[in-house]
Amino acid sequence: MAATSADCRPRVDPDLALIDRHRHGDPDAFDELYEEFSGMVFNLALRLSGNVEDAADLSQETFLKVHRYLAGFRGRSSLKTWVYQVALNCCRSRFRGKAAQLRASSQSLEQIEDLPDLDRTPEEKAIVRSEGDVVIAALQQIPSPYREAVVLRDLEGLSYQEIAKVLRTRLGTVRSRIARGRDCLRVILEESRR
Amino acid sequence: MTHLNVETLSSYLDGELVDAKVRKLETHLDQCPRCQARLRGLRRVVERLSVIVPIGPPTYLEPEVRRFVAVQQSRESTWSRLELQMARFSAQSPLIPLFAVVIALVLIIYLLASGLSRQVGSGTEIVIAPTEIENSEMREIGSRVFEKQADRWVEQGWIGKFPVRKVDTKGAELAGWITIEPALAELEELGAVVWIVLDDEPVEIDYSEP
Repeated sequence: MAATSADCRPRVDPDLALIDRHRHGDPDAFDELYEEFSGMVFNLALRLSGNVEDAADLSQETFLKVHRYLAGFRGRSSLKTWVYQVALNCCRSRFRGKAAQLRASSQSLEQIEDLPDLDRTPEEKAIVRSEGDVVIAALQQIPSPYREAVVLRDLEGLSYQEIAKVLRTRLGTVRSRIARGRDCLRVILEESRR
Repeated sequence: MTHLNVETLSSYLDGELVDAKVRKLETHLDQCPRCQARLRGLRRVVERLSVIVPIGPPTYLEPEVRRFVAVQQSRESTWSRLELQMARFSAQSPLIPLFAVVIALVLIIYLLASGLSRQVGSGTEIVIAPTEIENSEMREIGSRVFEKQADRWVEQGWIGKFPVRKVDTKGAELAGWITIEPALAELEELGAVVWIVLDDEPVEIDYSEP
């Protein structure tokens, strides 16, 4: 079958086309980008920060950075990976130095396994919470490098290769962080059931 | 009996093991109740995580983002107008060097006031908040963004302690990183000291000397 004229047109990467429109001052380009990525950014920030207010602040900060630096983006990684990186950097910057975050980050797997009762009274344990709430609370208790990897893999559905790009780390490190994060969660969730 | 480690079991759950390893692992699992239990535990975690559903951002977020973007745009256009005025002024006046010094001083005071924090305790610790720096020189290399700060390029988004470990420009470590992330080869073009985060570690690569 003969190729139609449409088939012969060079394919334009939609990400690059969007960035090009943004460079040329098209305000709809940023609106489209916000539409596409706002849910993704907000949920990442929510799962890493653990509360809606921080997640909204971090989303706002992320999109301001995206707006500011988008024109310089040359498309060597996918736009999605880049937006994830910007969001993750915002989250890390926000929580670096916060005592709770440092405490969580400095906990080794062994320390987590040693936690006797996760500071809950029997009455608190008796409170029935939704399955999701329990898992979200457990996520906040694991070290942040593990939490980032688990969130990107099990909540955002990224492949190991994509996670390695977002975290700028080796595939082996990604594999290890996902595994250790899941194992930390296993210990915490089993403990919370007792 | 040597038990399977958690990395292997977790990768198995994700289908990330090669066939030969899968066969070996399944043979071991058939006869090891302890590894079976650990695998069940990990699988249960993945299933419980799948219960968490994504939620939409709050409705107030979008207008907030638009408002702040508009403010940012207005600041940037103000700076562009200032640059234009300076160019016109420089064509007419011999007082350019004095004017440039005044502008530089105002900019430095503004940067200090807007949160650029430098603590140089015997040259050992610097904390930088790159998001606060306005109108600085930026370069994008691969998926990373670098900001020119004094005589060095600092990866954007990094706030942490320095000095960082030095990585040899000709060494095997950097060559390994370039294999994983080919864009890093372009760092050499910067011709200056580069602070970059490799595998969560801030390191210094000195391209200032040939």
